[in-house]
Amino acid sequence: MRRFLVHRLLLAVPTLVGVSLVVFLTTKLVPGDPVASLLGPLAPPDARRELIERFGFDRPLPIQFGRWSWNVAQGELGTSIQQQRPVLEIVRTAFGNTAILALAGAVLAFAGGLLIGATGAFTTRRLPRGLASGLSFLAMSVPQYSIALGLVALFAVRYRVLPAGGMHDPVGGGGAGDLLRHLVMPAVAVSLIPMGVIGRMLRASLVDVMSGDQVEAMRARGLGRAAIARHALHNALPSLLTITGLQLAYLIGGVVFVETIFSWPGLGQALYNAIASRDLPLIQGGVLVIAIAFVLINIVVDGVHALIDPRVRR
Amino acid sequence: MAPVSPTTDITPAVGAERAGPHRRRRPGAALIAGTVLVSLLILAAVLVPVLPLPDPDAGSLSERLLPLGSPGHPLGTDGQGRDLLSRLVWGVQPSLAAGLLPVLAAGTAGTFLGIVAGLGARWLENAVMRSLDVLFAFPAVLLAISIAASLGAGLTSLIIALSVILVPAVARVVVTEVARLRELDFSQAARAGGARTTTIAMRHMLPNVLPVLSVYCSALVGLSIVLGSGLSFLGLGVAPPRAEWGAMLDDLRQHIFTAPLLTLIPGAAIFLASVAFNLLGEGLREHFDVRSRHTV
Repeated sequence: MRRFLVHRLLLAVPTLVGVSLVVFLTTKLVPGDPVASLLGPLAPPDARRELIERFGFDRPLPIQFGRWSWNVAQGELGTSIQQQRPVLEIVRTAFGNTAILALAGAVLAFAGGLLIGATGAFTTRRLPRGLASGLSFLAMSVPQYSIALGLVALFAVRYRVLPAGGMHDPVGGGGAGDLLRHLVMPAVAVSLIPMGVIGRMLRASLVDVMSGDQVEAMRARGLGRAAIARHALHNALPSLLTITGLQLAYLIGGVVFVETIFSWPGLGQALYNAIASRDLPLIQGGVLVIAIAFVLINIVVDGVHALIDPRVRR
Repeated sequence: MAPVSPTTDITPAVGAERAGPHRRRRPGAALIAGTVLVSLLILAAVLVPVLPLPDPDAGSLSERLLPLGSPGHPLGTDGQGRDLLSRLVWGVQPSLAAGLLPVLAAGTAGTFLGIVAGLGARWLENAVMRSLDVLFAFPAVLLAISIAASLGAGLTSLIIALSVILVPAVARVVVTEVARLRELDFSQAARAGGARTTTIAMRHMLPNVLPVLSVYCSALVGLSIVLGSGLSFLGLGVAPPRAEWGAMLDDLRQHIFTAPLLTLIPGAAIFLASVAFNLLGEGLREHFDVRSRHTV
């Protein structure tokens, strides 16, 4: 097990280097002169030269990349142009808020997906089966921003039962109940697509297991439906876990839209604001942090997978 | 969303042998529904210049935010008094462009990369797969955002960004397929018979990869539409005066407290387009007995 984890962590190193390379290169794609945009077009040549030397823009790209990643490795992500604060500081606060939303969404997606998948695989009656497959299909197809705006229009504007945005009430807010009220709609909005996908995948792998010899043998030995279902679920668990881990990526991607719509003070909203003001250091920092988090999530998923399924420990 | 992180395993459906040949021939409900919806979208995109619709860009300050069912404006008007039905129908074009073009580009590039990786030398395979892993390390939406943000707003940079993020997904599917195919008797025979690698790629791999790929790609179109409108919604795609669903959504969002129902219209259109292509993909998959575990 330890060897597996060490191996997996080592494999992540080139991926992380590649990820930072991609993020670095996207900054280089930006059309225009970065120095001119910092100093203005009428800057004296001396100031220009000084800045170019300070940032190393005159060096070859590989050296620039080396410098940049050295800074990043030390947590130096630059300064936000718009907010004039270190990017790391902005990203750190926002990250926690996004984690709350993503976790809530993941729990909902997992629970809903489990329900949909199990219903679809174990019921023989037409109606619940069709319902499960229809629901998972629709959930999978609905854009997060459409459902988010739909929820706001319905529950915040039309019926006024839930707050339209933010994380806490400005007056008298701050408790856990308050947070939960604000969390419901965004969490539902980010959870739907992963829920649909998890439901469909789970159903497929359950059907797979149910048509195998093992289930035949259990039936022959007179096991009840519930017992067989339990065994089947147990068998489908590893793939369910992997899928859920992968789905976290989509969930995190969807967070950008959902946080923007609900003014949730997380990374997604920070990114949106950064895009609106063309604040490239903040965009790159936010994207980099999320990508790194995603690589780490995948390692955790693989680790848990190896823990519950000895076959993958090689 | 972004459904672009596939666990790769495509095998013939389990129930394939149960469903008789007779049943397999008839197109299923999903295929029919998907085909009809997609055809309607394409028809709308082609016919929109000759349809009797008001000018999508002409606003009127006295007719701002008219509700659904207003005379002359069946779907109401937006914050500048522009006819929503007209803007919705005009919005089909950029949405289809954002859906089809990136998938076409990524499909071509991904197939090339996948076949090269699947048939090429070991180091080539490793190089391609590791590069794909890096792209997979990004949530697709984020990668698209950061590319589109770097390239600047506009339909072209939107299409470039979407193409880049779809490549790894396509390439993975192709690599998996090629890895399966190259062990089969016919390609072993071709190799033993001295066929060149390019011949094997063009004659044996490509035709066999295409069915699986087309199934996967038709679902990717739905994803690409959703992402494209999402980028426009964030202000990264199609620029505001032009009628585009995501941009419309962003515009109507400002008025959600005065006209909540109107916000639902472009959102529903994007949803419908996504459902249309997903149905098509699902229908094709059933029809050709391809079971895919790709998390689209």
